[in-house]
Amino acid sequence: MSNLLSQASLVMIPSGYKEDVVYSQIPTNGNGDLSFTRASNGTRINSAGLVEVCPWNLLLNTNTLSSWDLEGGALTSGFTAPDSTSTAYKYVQVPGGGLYSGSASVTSGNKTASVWLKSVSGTSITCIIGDGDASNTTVVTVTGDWQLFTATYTTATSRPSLYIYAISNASGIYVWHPQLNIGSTAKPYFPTTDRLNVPRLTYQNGGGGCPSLLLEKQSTNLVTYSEDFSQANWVKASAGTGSVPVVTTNYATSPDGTQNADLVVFDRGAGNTSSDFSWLYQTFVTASATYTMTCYVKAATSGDIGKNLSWRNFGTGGMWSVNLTNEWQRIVVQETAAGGVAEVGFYNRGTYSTGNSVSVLMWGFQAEQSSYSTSYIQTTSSSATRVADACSKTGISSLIGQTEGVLFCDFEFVGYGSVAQWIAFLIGAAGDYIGFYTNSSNKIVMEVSSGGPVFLDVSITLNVGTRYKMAVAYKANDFAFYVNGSQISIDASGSVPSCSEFNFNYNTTAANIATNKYNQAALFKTRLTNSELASLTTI
Amino acid sequence: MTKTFLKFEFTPTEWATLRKLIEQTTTNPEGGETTTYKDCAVVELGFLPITPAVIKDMEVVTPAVLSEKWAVDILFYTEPPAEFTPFEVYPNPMGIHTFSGDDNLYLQAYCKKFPDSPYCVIPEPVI
Repeated sequence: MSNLLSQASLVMIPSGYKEDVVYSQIPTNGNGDLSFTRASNGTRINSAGLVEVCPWNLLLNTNTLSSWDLEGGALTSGFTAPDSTSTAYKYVQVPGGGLYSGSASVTSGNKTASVWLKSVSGTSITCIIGDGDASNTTVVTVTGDWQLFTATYTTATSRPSLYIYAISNASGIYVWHPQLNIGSTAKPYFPTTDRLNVPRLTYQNGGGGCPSLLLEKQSTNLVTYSEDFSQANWVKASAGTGSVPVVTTNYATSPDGTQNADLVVFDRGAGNTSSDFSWLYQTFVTASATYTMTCYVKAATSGDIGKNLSWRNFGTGGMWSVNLTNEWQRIVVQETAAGGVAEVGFYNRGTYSTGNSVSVLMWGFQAEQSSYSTSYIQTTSSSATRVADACSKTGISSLIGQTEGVLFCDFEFVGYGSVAQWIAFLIGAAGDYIGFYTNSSNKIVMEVSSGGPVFLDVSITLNVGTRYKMAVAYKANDFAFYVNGSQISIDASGSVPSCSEFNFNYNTTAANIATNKYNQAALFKTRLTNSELASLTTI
Repeated sequence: MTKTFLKFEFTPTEWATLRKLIEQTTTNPEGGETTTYKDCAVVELGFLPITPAVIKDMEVVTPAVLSEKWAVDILFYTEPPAEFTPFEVYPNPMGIHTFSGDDNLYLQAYCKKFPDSPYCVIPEPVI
């Protein structure tokens, strides 16, 4: 942390988090920890550069097992766990009984369970880990010492996600930290309660570097089976000399690190007219609105590198083209639909695509009604919505300078919304606020308002996908606004509003929530000098 | 705070009336009024196709036949208003839309309504 930041009253550099909370680095007593909400899953890019569901533990209440069910027997708490705390559970079964993770799993797919187990009797016993189906049984030998067991299986929609049963000793078994994650490798344990409100610390594509706190608006992936192009929901069609696309599922490792990318061969035959094509698509009823389509694609063979594949968004007939490489790329296109029935998908079509046969690896197709792309939303048999993230802290007058101070925010600008959207702001009583927002004219506005009159009202244009460091310094009759090391505006008149709440994106309503990646934010209770503001905001 | 995931069908007039119960009007940073949803996330699925469109050679041969009811999925963050109850619908899980990762919330509501459904009865484990 820089010397300047060490002087701050509140510093948020995304690093520590749990359900509902993003920890602050200053103060460390919890008074500055930010409240976080998002009532659904979301995805991020993890430190290894892989797309990952947050939270990755798909089970509920994994520390308390409070929503877990028993097929007879008894579950009691308070036993010594591997970390020497009294947080393990003892399950004593009845014949044929078991312990399972609540209601049936609604989604299917390849998953890995992990759980710490120990024999109550102290002798070696056996039990089964799986989903209760005969085809998904992993028999493990449990001893009198704690051991972490894993089992990989394909969950069915009629079974619970994790079932522990067929315990061979009547004394029962100790259980601690159960988890189920997507893929064939067990991830580090992530404790859950309701699996909601888990912050996403996302990394740059490819991983590495420092993470950002990803705060996004609500968005829906309209396509179904976003990772399985073999499903009938994906229409395979052809015309002229073309053949219907041929899909081989789970052919290669995808951007989530598992073997679930599909190979799709688009062969339009010998013809080279626009009437010769091979086409993979889904159909939707669209509004007259802007849609964004994204998909991860990669050349399947060295011979496909450099070939073009055409794709179509919800627009009025336009074709887009992607040049395939030997790396995964998330291709993005925006288009305004005319309304009515429209198709979205990929073509190999004469006059639009190069290569009469193109083999492509595909994963993670997304189509959303949005003017910019948002993080990937996985779908299976239904479309899926990621609800908005919101991050804020109320009741912190003691951490916000009441007569002078600085609000600093370092973020990557993702895109403008259709209405004004806050990026970061302090707020008090009605009409009292200090902060930055994007307006409906696609500019960012910095405002200080004390009971209504607005001071330091300036606006600049931001570039999408660019990192910005912004700071507003405030003191009676002494205001300044700095962006990326440069002074944008100063104002030698005005009073300071009294604020008690710190918000990132506008957290009152889902529709007004901005999408940005926050690298750090800080509050100071003194007005830094202009040279310090320049230093603080230099990229 | 307990969350509830429910599915509804309304006539357009019913929806126009009932949505006001879960809307709020706020002042946006530019001073304008913005009406949005309060204490819930709403996804309007619209008039769902009863019979899908027939498409051939990139042309719509037969248009889709759409329902006359407006379908809406709502994830309530507080107790759902009682006025919405008559309009609840319960397609087999998950229907055509879900809130990502919240399938269990819809299943809770579904199984409360249909406790004997195969979706709600966990079979005994098979060895």
